[in-house]
Amino acid sequence: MFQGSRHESLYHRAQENARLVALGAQVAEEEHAAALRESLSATLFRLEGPLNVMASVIARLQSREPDMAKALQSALQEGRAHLEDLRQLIAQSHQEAISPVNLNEALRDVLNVCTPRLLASGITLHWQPAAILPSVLGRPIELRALFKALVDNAIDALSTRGWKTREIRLATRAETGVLVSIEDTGPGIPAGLEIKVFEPFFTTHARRTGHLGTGLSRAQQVVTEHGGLLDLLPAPGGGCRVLVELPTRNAA
Amino acid sequence: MNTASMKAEFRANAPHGLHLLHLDALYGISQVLSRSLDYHETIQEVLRILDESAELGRGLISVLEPDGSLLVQSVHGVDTARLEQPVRYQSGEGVLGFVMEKNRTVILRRVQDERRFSNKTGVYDPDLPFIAAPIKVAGNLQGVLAVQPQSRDETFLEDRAHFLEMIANLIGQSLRLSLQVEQEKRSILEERDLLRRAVRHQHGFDSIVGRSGAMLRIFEQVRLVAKWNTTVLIRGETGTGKELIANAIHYNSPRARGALVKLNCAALPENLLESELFGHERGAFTGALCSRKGRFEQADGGTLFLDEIGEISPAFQAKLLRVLQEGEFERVGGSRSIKADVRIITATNRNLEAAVDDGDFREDLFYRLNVMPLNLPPLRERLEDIPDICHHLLLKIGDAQKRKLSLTDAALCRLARYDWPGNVRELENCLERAAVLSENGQIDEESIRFRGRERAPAHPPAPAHPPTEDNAAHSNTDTTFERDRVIAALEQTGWVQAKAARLLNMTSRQIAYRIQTLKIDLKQL
Repeated sequence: MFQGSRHESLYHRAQENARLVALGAQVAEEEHAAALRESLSATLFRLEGPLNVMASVIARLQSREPDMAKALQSALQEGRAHLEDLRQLIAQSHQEAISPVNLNEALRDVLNVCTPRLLASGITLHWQPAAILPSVLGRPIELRALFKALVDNAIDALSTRGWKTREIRLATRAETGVLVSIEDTGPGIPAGLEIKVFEPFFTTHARRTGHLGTGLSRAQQVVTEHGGLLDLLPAPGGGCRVLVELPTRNAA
Repeated sequence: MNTASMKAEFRANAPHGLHLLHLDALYGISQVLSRSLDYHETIQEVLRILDESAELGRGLISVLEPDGSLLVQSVHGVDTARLEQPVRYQSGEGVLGFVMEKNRTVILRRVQDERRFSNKTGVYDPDLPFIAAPIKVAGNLQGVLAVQPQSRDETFLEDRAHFLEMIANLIGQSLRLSLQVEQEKRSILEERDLLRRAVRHQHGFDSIVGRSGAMLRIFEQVRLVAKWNTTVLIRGETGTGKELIANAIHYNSPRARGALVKLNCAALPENLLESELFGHERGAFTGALCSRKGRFEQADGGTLFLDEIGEISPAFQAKLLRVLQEGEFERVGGSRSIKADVRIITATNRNLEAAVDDGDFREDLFYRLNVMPLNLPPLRERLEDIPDICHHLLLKIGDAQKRKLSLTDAALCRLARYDWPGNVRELENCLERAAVLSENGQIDEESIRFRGRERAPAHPPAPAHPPTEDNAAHSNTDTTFERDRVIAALEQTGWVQAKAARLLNMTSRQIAYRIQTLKIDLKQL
């Protein structure tokens, strides 16, 4: 009897571990793909501006130098066609099914995946989930990757050498939608960069560390696609506070 | 007389000196307390004065936390932020805890003689005395103020303790106020964030309806453009929702926490436009009694939406170009250059290319603005969206009228046959009028009336609504065009003739004449 239940619990634990490992891999894959997607679409967008200017110049040139305008026009068209191909490619690559997601569960998974890093950096975590949390409609892996990126950001902020108070507060709350707050006691965002940090390719890390700098811009997009809002606020203690609000199933 | 009595003699006169010292410190502290509401700054100053003027060093302030412990907030001469971790005392723990428990002043003649003294901050000299007084607010203990007199002389400890109690009482008031202010500030901030989120929901994509391919492409562009600080040019006919798109870009961008400032360039004469946009200094012109921030400065950290950008004069175009290129401008009548971090969204229904050809619009400015054009399709090119838009608008109008509104299929068919020169705005006005006419909330074919001409219907319209039928406009396309133009302008300005006249570059007399000759029904308000 005792033996049996012990076996059972061991079995459950092994199963849970396997699930977490698989999940970690899935999330890592999603993160990688998302970063790639984000940098591609950001590059596409950045190329579009100069092309648009060229297009308006060509339109003006048409009356003065028709031949030149024609040559430029075909070059422009070719360039645009290439960009369009790339755009189609990005749009196709992403198809995760939408299903109800309990954010408390998703966040607990994220914390499990992040635990080694939290321990290594000596960070105290305060996890305050709401007792009852309505589920939201969304893409489960994408949402987990979103929160993992936000928690990773908080860990990065606290991992400055010699930083004393290392705490992260993670809380969920049911309001008009579901509110997730991630608060760190790090140095906060330097004044003047509050808007800049959302721009694709912006990073506070040196380039060689391999950070693409697509984290926050990607996060903002995932939240927007889920019909929610993302807010970056100064935390009361001087650190940084990220608020994510996602609509609940009934509201959506 | 022996030496002991001589000392006593000397001290008998000393209280006067000590009182003068205290009075001086008290004066300084009263000044500090009346100066600012910033509690932390105030406290630092008070502790400094205690040290410098009253010989009471190492002043320490601890405050009662919600969990019932005392948190050391500041110690004079010690940077509390650099302590390993926050210093706390439970009730009854150490001397501070003892003061909290008993709610009365404690005097130690020598720190090292008191076993209770825990010296958690590690800054107190064991050879010197120590005084701790409760800070009370309305009789309840809210904190403890403690100091270490900087001499071993024990004679006036009672006087000093009395003085310290006085200071603790004074601080109590300031502490109470600061706690109150902080709490109110927090609740206001929370409410502000809540309202801000509500506004962002309202102005996000939810308020733009459409499933047609053209609109989906627009959504995609808006989403992308929102991430960057690029200047955006929104183009589209009047009433296609250029302002909604500007809202969506702003509220889906990281600048959503900043302000979205709007300005209709056609609504103001040129000289006013300049001072409105860039602000003015005092005395810049008659009536400029004080300096004023312009819209550019108001939008710092946010977005500036310039509607009807095609209507600005060449002189003003030059000024705008400079701002776009250098990100700097001067107030009217000022010489100081002002920098503002602003994303600019412009909109126009004019054909800017033609305006450039005619020399009305600067070529270089056009290129700058046209970096990211968003072309909104007119309603007649996305008729398939009409049912969704109607549904959305009826919910909105029904909300205002506090009843449920619906549309019959026949009415919907009729709506889909119209050309909509005034686009979605005209559709909204049309539905609003129809809803007012409808008694039971059901909008049928009969209650829909158009101001422009209707496309050839599949079956003849019911004779009950002939206003568009016996219209001279039918035969002549020029007049029809004119009529559409006037109606569109009127729709845009909420049927205020004077404003519409300005949009069309007419005098109000001219527009009144056209309304009469073109037989346009005036909206009955």
